[in-house]
Amino acid sequence: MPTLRTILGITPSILLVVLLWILIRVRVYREFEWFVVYVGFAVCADVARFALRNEASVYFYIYWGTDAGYAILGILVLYQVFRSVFRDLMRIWYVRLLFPAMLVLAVTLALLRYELFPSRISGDLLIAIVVSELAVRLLQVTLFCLLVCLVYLFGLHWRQYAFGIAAGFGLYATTALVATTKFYESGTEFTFVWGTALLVSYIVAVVIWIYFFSLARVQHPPAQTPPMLSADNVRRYKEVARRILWR
Amino acid sequence: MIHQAIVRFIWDSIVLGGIASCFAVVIMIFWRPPERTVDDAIDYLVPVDLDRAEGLLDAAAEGHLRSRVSVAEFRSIQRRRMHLYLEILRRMAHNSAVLIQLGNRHAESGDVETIERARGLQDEGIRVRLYALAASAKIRTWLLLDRTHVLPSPVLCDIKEVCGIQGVEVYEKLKTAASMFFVGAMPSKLEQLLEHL
Repeated sequence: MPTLRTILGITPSILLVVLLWILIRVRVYREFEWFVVYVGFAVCADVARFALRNEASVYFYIYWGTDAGYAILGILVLYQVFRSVFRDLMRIWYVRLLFPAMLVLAVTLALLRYELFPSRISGDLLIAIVVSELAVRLLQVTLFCLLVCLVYLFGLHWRQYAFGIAAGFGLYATTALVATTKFYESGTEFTFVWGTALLVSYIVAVVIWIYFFSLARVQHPPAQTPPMLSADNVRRYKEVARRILWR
Repeated sequence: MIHQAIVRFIWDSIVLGGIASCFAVVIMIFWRPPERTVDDAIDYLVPVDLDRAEGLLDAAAEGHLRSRVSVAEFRSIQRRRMHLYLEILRRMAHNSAVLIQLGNRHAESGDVETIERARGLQDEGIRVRLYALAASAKIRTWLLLDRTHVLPSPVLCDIKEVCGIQGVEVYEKLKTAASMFFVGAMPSKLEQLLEHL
């Protein structure tokens, strides 16, 4: 079992390095800079966790500190995806309110859960961390569901980078929400399953990202000289322009 | 006890929503319809009579009609007018979906100008579709409530702007965006496009 955990623990780091290399190669930072920051942070966090794995007292803070970093950057990435997909709709005031509304819903639900369902986890600090984690995962899953619904309604498709990022995060956030809820309810006896489920779903998420960003996106520079217009085309344009202006 | 049940219900709904969304993404990736191309997009478009839509949304004309006929008669005419506008909205939503799909195809690859025009097409298409779906939902609710005969007949010109979007205006913008796209992609089909929009 420790061997399996070790393999599962190292795999995401290797995959993340590959992903970071692909992201830099296809210059994703020009469009989704927060995603590149997220992946860069993930690589650094993994190195720090691995280096300090035998220092029990420091490792606790490193683990949960980096976990908070993952969660905050995860929200920023999903928000950037949301903005990139519905860029024009963001000009409408109530669309801009969607994100804060979901944030309030997630925090309220997590706090209500803490009030109404006592946890079996011992230690106030750990409970506070897990409740915060629940709020973040709720927000990520809600954002993911909203994105899927809107994409379905508007007929957008899922081959673009934005959707690749959302798909990976959606899978990971959903698994993390289920696993963290179970961990909150069952306490430390669920630690192994919780950790393994998170690792496996994270590996799948990184594989999804590698797949999406490996799909080549061809962009050609604009043509140097405009194509010649025939007299017939010029007449047709003038006719169309006249009809549009006439309206 | 009831608070616990409500929190648990909302919580479980979000979790189920997340799981369902994961499956939906897989389905959307692998079982999506064939992409629209510049060649065949026009065949899927349905003409929208914007003059007729403007006529239906005209407050003065509606007021004039209301003053000329009895309440019962106006209610019946208004229902027919609503069904007609619902049909126009259906066509708007359909056309915007077709053009968004066309935009999807070109927004990721090609030269920079084509990508820009394709994104413009997506943006305007999304606005039209949002308006059409929201306005349809509003009209359907009205039609449902109208059956009770408790409330007075609704005013159709209230539909002119829904969710902060003006329907006719935004559809005109979509037509312009589509024209711009076709000027770059396939000028020979521009006239045919405008006839079908």
